[in-house]
Amino acid sequence: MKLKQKLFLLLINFFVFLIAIVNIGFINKDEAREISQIRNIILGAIESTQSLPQLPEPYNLKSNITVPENIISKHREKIISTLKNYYSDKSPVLKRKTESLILAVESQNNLNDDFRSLGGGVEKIENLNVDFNGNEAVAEADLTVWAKIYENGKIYTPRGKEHYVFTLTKENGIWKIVDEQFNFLPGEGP
Amino acid sequence: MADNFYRYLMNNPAGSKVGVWSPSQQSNTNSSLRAGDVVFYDWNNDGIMDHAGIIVGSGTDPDSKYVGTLQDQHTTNRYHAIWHLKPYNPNWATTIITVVRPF
Repeated sequence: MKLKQKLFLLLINFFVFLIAIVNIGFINKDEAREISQIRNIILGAIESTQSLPQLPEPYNLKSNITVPENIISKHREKIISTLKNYYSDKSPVLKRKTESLILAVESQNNLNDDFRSLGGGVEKIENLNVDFNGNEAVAEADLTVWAKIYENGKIYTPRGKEHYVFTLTKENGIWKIVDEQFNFLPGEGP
Repeated sequence: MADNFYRYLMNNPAGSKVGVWSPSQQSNTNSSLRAGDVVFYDWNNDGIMDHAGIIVGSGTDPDSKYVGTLQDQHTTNRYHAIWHLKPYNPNWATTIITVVRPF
């Protein structure tokens, strides 16, 4: 083979290699962006679940005052609109989580006990792994969650590390949770 | 495992459901419960029991100082803990409790 031909083949090989590297780079960049979006949705969903039971001031601070119905009603609306940012309308999780959180808010008025929610949140997210299948994804992660409650003059801050499995779907370009399962990691349960 | 135990008790002729309590009904003292009742916890209201304990009576929870109906449990070992586990449970707001009487 002549030197000219060898150089030509070498050049072709180099360009093929370059195109492959660039394409792999683009795929990873897209995937990284999708993973980041999913991470934000997961964090937002669980942060909201943990923090939404807390009533606005001054009702979250004083357990001896009855919460007016209009405040409860406004808070109910806040729970519904916030969760819709993270959960698909089609998801049964949205329905049961909304119901639970509304009951948790109402519990602060209904129970005879001296009880108030003082908030909650996510301390840490670890070991996030996402598997994509077109417009669907399954994400697994370990989340350390906490809550803060007031009861009879004492404050309690339960926390625990939980393993979550989320199924997500892309709706109008935004990832939404359609299913959510979790349990405490060994030794982390209440 | 807790869910299998729940289904076993519910399918047993001697087993009967005492009640189901959402967060808005979980008062410290639950007069419907008796020592020996099995208390099941569904942390996320998905209908699957995630954990179980046994009602032992009434009094003061030695760890949290809550006063009311008490339970004992393993896994995270607790002796005479308040039955609804709120001071220990970061998911108290979504936890549904079902109690079965196995006798």
